[in-house]
Amino acid sequence: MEQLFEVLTSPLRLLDILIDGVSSGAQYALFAAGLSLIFGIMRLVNLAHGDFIILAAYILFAISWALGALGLAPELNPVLALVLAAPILFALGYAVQRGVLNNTLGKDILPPLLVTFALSVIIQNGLFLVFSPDTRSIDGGALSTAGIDIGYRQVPLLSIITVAVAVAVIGGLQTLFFRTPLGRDFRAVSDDPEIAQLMGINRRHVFALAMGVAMIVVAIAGVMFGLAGSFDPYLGPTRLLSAFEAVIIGGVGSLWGTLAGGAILGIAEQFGSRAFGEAFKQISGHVAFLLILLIRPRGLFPRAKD
Amino acid sequence: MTTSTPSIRQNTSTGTLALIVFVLAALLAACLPLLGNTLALQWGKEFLMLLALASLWNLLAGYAGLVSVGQQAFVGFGAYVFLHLTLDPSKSIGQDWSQIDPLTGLGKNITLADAFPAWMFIGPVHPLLSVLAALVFGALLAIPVSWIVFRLRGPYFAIGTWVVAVVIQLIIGQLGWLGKGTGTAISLDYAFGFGDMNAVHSLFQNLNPDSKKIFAREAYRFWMMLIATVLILLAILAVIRSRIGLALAAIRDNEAAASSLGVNAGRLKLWLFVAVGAATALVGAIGAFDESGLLPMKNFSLLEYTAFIIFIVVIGGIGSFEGPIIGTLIYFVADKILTGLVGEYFYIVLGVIGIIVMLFAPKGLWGLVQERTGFALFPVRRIVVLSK
Repeated sequence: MEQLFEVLTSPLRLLDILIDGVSSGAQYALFAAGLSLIFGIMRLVNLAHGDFIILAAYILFAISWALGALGLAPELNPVLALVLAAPILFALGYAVQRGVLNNTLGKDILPPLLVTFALSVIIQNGLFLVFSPDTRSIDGGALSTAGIDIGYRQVPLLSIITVAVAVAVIGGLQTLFFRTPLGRDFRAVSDDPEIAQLMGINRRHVFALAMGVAMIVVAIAGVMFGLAGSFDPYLGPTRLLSAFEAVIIGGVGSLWGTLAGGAILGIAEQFGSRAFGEAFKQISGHVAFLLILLIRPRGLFPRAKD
Repeated sequence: MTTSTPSIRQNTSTGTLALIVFVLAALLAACLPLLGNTLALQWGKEFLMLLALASLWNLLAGYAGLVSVGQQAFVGFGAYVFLHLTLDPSKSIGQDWSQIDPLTGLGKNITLADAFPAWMFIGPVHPLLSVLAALVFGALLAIPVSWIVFRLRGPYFAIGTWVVAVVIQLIIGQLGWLGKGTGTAISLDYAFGFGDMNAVHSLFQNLNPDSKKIFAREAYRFWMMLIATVLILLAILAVIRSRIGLALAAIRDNEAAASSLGVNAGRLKLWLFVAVGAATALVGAIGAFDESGLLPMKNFSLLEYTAFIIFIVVIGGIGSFEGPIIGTLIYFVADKILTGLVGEYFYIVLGVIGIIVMLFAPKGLWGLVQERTGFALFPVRRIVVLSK
């Protein structure tokens, strides 16, 4: 209780909560953007989304490790790794959607849920067998430790980059969605897949492209996550839950909303961890989500129709 | 001229035969402890628990369309209700009662997670009463959970139940008297604090003088699990054969049309969710009655109590009474044969089979059989009979 009082009465502690909360919130928004994109376009809730993020982090880890072995500057490795990994993950997303997930879409919600749930189990155990249960992280060299002095403390450079990346990714997706021919196809199949098909859009191809784009977002989320801390094969489900909560808090279908949703989650977690102890970090985030769900079931920025 | 009045019947001669076989199998299973083999009892309990959980999940997902990925919340919660009722506050359970206000549980140097008042401890309670309490508390948990998850539609409902399960696991993992994250075991002394356990023990000693106390408890638990599973299966059969089952089928086909005919879909789903939650907690409580100890990680296992269960139901045949039975048989045999296989490979194989079945035979193995033959062991359909 004293801890709670101390946190509430100290402006600097509250500022800490805000800074650290927003920076982890930006990570959650990155997790959420891919999930939201996929749901928005094909009404598919991908239960393996978190595992895709961890899979991406492992692929990036492997590439970045290989680049390090070639003797390149470690600061550059994550960026290079991302450039190299993006096409791989795009292709993987396209193939999974075209080969498996397209066949599950329909009126019945069971097939996509169960198939993506099975994918989640397969990815987790596959990663375990290939990479062992040891924790890994992506080496960012000096980037991982650099900070910016704001007077009373340092703000990690990585946090600032994460926030910038999250805003850029969501801005980019928004532009793609509303200002490009591909985005027009996305919106068309989202609004009415049958009519879009009649107008000459190959729905199965467009869905696969959307999953490919989502996987690039997943790769970006994976690199930011892998730089910020260590990961193991079983962390996917926790990422999925954070992503899901950020989507619901922000309002289903609202990409910018995921930024707000992520920030609220991050701030709630930081508050809980500082006011009640580290063990309450996760619980606080979940409780904040449940409270918002009870008060505003459609989230903070609901779309007009769904 | 004679007027013929058509009558409706549900049962067939196969159905009667299947029910007789079912009852005989249960009676035969009840004799399993007489073999005196502990491993047989453990396997038996494991099989029954999978069967009960699979049938319950199937009722929820296959009949009511409520795809929950959070049933482990009820399994774990039931286990912890049971643990709580086994505790004896006169013995140390890690607290200093002199520091704690008996009514509010608050006191000096007491953290929020350890604030528990004396009136909460009524144990040790008889195991049979404790598992029944788990049933009641399971229902009491399901009601507030439904307020949250029923706000989410379709696929989001699934992830919502998952979040709730994680929250319940995290909260229980913080409670000092339940062992926090490190776990607590239910002692053998608790089990033998009651007369009937001693009676079971002396029964087995009459058969075999070397029979251990631990075996008597294993047999006792096996019988509890057997009775619970048989009752759960019969209750499910009764539900899907009743008007409720008809209403659920109507909702599955067309919710709007069903509503217009007077089916209250929301209330029906709520009742089913609560009933399934209660029964799941009961199964979880019985499953926890052994020496291996309770751990939030273990008793709230997503893999064991939801993922495997989903695969069992999907492979066996979702939306049919027979499906979970077939699925459990296949899974159980495969699990025991492939024990040599590294667990991770087994999970991957399971996942791949699950995907293949979902894509190419969405009604599972039993669905394939039914499609080809129209055969039903436990008929649910109504058959119109024109009398002569």
